[in-house]
Amino acid sequence: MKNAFFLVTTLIISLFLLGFAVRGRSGIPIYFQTNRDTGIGSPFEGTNSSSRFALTESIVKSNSLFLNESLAAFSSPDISKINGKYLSIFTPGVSLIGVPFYYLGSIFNLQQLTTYLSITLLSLLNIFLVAKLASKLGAGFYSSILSGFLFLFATNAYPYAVTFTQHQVSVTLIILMLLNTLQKRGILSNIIFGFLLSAAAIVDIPNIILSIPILIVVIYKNIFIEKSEVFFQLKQSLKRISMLGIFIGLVPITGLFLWYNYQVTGNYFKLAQTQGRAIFPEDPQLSQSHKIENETVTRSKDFHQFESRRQLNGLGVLLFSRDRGLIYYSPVVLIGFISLFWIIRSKKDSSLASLMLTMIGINVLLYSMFNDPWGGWAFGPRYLIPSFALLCSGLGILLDRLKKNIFFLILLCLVALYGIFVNTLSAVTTVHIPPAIQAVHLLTPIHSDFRYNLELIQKNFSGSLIYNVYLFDKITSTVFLAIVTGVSSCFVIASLIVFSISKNRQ
Amino acid sequence: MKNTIIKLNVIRIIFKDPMLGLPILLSLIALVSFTYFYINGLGLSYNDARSHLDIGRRVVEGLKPGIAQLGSVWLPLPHVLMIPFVWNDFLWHSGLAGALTSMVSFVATGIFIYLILKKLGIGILGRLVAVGLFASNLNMLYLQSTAMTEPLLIATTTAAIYSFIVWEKEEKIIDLIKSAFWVMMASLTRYDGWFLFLLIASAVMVNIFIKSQGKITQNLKEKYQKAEGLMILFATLAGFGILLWFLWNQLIFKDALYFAYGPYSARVQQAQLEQAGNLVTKGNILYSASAYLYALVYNVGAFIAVLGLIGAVILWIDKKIALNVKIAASMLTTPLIFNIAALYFGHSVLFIQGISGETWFNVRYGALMVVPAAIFVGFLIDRLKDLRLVLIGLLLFVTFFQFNSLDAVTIDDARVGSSQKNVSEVSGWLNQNAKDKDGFVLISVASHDAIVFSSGLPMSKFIHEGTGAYWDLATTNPSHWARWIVMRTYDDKDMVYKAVSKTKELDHYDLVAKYPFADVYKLQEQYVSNLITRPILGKQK
Repeated sequence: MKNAFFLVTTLIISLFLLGFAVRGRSGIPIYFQTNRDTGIGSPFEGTNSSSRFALTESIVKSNSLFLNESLAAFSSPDISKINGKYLSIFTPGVSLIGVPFYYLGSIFNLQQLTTYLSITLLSLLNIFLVAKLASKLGAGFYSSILSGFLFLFATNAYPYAVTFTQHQVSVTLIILMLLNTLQKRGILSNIIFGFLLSAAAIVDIPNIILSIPILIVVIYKNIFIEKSEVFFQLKQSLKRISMLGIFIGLVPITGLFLWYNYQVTGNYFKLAQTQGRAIFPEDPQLSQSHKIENETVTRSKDFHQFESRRQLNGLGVLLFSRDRGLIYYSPVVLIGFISLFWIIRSKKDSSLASLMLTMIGINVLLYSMFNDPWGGWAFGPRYLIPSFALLCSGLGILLDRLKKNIFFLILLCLVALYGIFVNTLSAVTTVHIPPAIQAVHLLTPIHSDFRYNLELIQKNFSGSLIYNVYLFDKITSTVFLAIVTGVSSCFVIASLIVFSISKNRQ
Repeated sequence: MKNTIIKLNVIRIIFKDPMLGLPILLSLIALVSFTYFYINGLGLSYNDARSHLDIGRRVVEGLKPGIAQLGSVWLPLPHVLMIPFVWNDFLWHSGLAGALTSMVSFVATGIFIYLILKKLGIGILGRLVAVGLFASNLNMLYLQSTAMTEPLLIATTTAAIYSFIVWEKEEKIIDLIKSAFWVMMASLTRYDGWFLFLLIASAVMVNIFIKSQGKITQNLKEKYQKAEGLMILFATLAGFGILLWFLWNQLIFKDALYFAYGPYSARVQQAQLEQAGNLVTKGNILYSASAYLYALVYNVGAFIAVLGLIGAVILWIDKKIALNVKIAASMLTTPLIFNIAALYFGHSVLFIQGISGETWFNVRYGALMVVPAAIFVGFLIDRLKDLRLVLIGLLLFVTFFQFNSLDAVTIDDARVGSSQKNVSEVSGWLNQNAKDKDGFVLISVASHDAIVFSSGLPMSKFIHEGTGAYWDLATTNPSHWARWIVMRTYDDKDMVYKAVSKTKELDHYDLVAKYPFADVYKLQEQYVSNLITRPILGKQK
């Protein structure tokens, strides 16, 4: 009963918090549904969202995988141009997820809202997936749920829950793959694994690299079997045959992905990303210089998207920099890291934690080598959101262990509340912040970190639909921020207090 | 069937004791790497690599061959080791004469890494990971494919530290002597070896006191006497190379400190750099440290460097390892201390792209920390048993990307940094126009050794600073001795220009080619009849 109450409370509060972060403005019916305003705080402020949305709209409205000129202008520069036709530079996974939601929304003329809602709903699901993962690591019920809550609201996951980007989908698929890995291998679990893997790939190509450790574990579990088991040889043969399931599972979405590539690039294996960016509308001079840049840099033999020499700078950016560093934006995950490390050091069966730590390492190292570790105009280290999910799932077990330790609880509380504040700040304003190196070169230089969000709040600005439609006349955006932050903070504090005074481990 | 059994047994033996297979595997890696970089024309990119090869060559061929050609600036061991090979034109011009030493050093270093970790009680996995990290480091693979001196320094240093650790653990005098021998070798390879000598000598003293702490019967005087005795024993052999170098400079150049204060010394170069405002690390410890740390990270890799640092800390707090052994193992970090100190005192120069302008220079010095990093990571892998697979997986991951992007900062240092010198135009001119004609080329090897090397002409075709009477005569009366003069016109740092400009015989020459690094002057036809085109001075003293 208590469990159900806690679960429902978490769900309601999460819905409340997500709802308050949904972007929008008053209009008829609601601004942004037909209007393509890309201003700060709008759902289309970042072309990583709008380019994906444009593809969804093009599929639904024009039955086309290409973008018309209007959509190309709206998505530029996150577009490519092949054979005179414009297309989204991103893999189509997120856009395809949005298609049914767009259809649904178009009935009520709320297509933007419902399309983006697909990602918001997945982010809600992610709370419980993180919790499930935490419980698989050995955490109790409450601490698992709290881990999931902290993932969504005390890390960068929150502001990106209301965008139309790949991050939340990647988290969903990666955790589902991890949970699948824990199952006994059989034809069905292998088919599901193959399906999830290909889905992860169509959502974001680097997901393939992140999934390599999981794939290795799955293959290992399919090949090796305890010799002591009865009917050893028979079981071994069956398991090896069931490995075919992975390929069967891969077929539908991989087929779709290859077909998409063929339709837009003329080559099954060529991604739009490899073509480089295009600019719309085309300025002959700009276009020429862009072309030269593309040819001399992006497609040069010596240029690599991922290069090991960038590690030092990349690690600095992702972990410690003021404009994107993990310690400034999501410090609560550091406790999760200690927790995972502790699990590995103290438990006999630490294979899941080891697997997760490997994936986190790959995630951090991969993007430390990326040519743009800042993630363009963004908020915090957005590429690390999948790692944040895994790190937060580790939190639970340490919380169980140290729930009576007042120092630990205070520390956890402080970093969690700090993370909630910083990320709520972004969720109700903007995720569109330039990296420091670009910010200083703007005509009107702005802050390259969350001080920019603070400035917006102080100017009584918010991107929140609910605030802009219902509360704008009644309270200032600072009060609105205080309410949203207060709700999540109170929930965390109350949960920790109740949890610490409860006698039995759940 | 029988063959299969034999093969399986061989594999089993090798797996049981990788010391059997390791040299073979490392040798194969060394050969493949050399071939790769040779085919891609990168083996001789470093200007210094060509100069090292020329120094070795001048000992066996030229107008005044002989051991004195070893010169005064660079320490002699790398060039001495080239002598058996460098007489051969292919081995000289392919760089193999020098790369052979580097390749053998590479293999030896890999083996010593393995042995050091074995001596520290590290399991087979940790040892193999360390050797793997070393052998898969692209910067090391590149340097071992060149005639540069760093691989030899790394090998001799690692060997010295290995023997020192063994002595600390087993207290057999022979190991201290072995360590001293390798220190001597290192001190004859690069000046870094001199610092190693000082550090290990100090550690010998300190460790005697640490080791005898438990022995209450020994009083302070006894401890001191023992320490003094061992120190003298160590220093006598280890410092012998340094002594020889002083002696060499005294005998050949009439000044024991000629290498340090002579006109071609690093000190003079550093002074020029300082004058041009390019010695920014001098007197700035933070800048010196950051410059070297960047070089270290670019050579070792950021992730491996971080793991290495953690490994070093864990080694220091490990209770299973005695304090004196920890001190001995810490000698591995000598390059870090030496290079930061050298930068701070202005004895060295290091440019990091993005930190000190837009060029690279001497960034390869960071490669000296590849071995300590590999050893400390090997130690870490052994101690963090639960995280072994995670760490190995991540190490494989970053290594894959290093190879995928062929990311070796040493190649950039050699190709596009200040260490490179594209002299192909001027050397190509010489090859085309001077190869089949009689007459000597007057050139300063202090400034243009790369041109001499790249021209493909025999060393005996050149009159340079090391040719004794030929040089004296040609610089005072060039039109009788030199059919071609290669020099940087109006640059007093070019010894040929400095001398020839005073003779007023430059009028007898036509400027026939002008290139970024040097101009070529050719003797006018009417003076050719008076030209001496054969080595007529006989054997010089």
